[in-house]
Amino acid sequence: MRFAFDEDQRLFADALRKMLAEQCTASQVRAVWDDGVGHDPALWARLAEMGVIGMLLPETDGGLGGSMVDAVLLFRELGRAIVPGPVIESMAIAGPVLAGSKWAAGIASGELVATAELDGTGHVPHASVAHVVLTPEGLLDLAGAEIDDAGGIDGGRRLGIVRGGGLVDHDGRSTADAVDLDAARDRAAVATAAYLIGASEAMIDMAGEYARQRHQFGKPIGSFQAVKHLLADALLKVEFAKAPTYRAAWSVATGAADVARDVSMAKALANEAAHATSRAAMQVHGAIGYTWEADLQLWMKKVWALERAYGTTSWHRRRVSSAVLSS
Amino acid sequence: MNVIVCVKQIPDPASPGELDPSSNTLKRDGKLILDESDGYGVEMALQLVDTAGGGEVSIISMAPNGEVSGMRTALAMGAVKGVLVSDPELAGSDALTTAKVLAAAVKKIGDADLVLAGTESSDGYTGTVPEQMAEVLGLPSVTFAKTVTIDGETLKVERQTEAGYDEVTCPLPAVVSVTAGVVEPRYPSFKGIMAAKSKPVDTVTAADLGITPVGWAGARQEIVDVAQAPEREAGEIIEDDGETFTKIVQYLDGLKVI
Repeated sequence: MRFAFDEDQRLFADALRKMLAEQCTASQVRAVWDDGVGHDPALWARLAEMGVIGMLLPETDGGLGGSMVDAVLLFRELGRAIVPGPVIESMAIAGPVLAGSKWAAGIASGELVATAELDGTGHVPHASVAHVVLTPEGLLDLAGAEIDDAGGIDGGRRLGIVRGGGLVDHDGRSTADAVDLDAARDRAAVATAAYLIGASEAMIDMAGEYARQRHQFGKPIGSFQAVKHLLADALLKVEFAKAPTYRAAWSVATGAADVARDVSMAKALANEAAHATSRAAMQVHGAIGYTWEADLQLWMKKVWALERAYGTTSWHRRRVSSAVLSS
Repeated sequence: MNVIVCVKQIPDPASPGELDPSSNTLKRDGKLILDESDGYGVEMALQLVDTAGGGEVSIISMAPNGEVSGMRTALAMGAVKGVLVSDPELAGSDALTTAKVLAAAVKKIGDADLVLAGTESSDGYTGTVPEQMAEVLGLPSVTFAKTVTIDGETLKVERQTEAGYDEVTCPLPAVVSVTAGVVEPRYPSFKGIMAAKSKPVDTVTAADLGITPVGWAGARQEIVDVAQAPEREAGEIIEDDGETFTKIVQYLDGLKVI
């Protein structure tokens, strides 16, 4: 068996990366964060048109019928550009759960923006930009609902507290009864791990670029071994997180028996890699990294928010431990 | 309406280009991508065919090693078929030979109402190939088009000039070179990328097209020397003493811009 991405998967990722480099620049992300909404409808339409949003939806719903292996490199590219809006919730949670329903075609075409909140915290990510939110009880139609903005550190993933809204059940059953919510959480965790890896790679690029430009003692600071080591250590962690994340995507796609172990390994390692990378990138930038004007802050805050989403590092480590010890 | 677009596949500008010291020509042995300036031609062709309500966009390219990666991008955008001229004999071809080869490729596809090309490519260029190709084909040539519209059998072009633009009309078929930035090239969708793999690209040699001699043998030019581009000189800094504007006026006068 060949465990490598095929040509289509690489071409899709390249095409998405090129589009995002032009249509989701740091200044565009900053503008979306600054407007207090955290969503870029024009970018969302482009993502849908390209086929990104519907990657995991069946072709009968207007999707591409892809698997998590097809989608994992896309999540990495979305993370590299820290694309704002509910990409993880739409693509990895709500889309596959609602496949075949009357909502699915709208999600694939980008006209219906879906988000999800599966843990009953009351804080719904992207609530103010979504039309529907998938909850354990059912699908909440946000038309007519009251949403209190609860902010959050990540301006591209604002939290909201939802009151009201019409609940649509799954033929008389709750979401929790109708679908496997753990599988949905696992998809979200793998997607988030890949997103964190992309964001980390972007931070290493930013810090590397800064280390080449910033001079001290008459030389670029990147020529100093201490600075090189910071970035090399971060890169090592990111590279070590990649293979487990791709493995987790394969386990999710094939329904492997060890899926819980693999997903948790991926998310734990990606969390740690992203956290370490954000610290290293900040250290390389020095004081300027703390400023609002430096783009690095956008990536750091994104990473801080997402390393706590869909399972913290310690939660996933415990899950790996119990999966390994019980087998 | 059928449109043929000439596309060049070039080394990725993101990685530094290198010259082959034996021939002083650009190395093109790696993966090639669609020249960004040709994306505009492809997009314009797709829009013209859409507006006409029928017909198809075909692409032609000349590249070493049977390279089709860049052509696949154009096919993923919506072109339906292509002809690639790939032949080791073509190494060292000058602009006129390139024009003859592309003209022959246009004839091979045939039945074109319009041939579009970029004004010039981004890697190595003379900026003369589209006009030479028009001459070889015996077709009218319009250069530096910033908008192109079709009115029956007539082509209407706004042709970019230093001062603004000229309105040009000419009969079809014609060869038109378009300037960069005239339209926004679409991003290929994933479905387009998958479909592109099964679209036909006919690979032929110069001899198949009946063009000889080609390459260094057919070139009426030779590269005798290669030199580094001069470094930019430092600008002049003038301390403002309240009369600086006269120096600015003198400077601009020297440039003959006022």
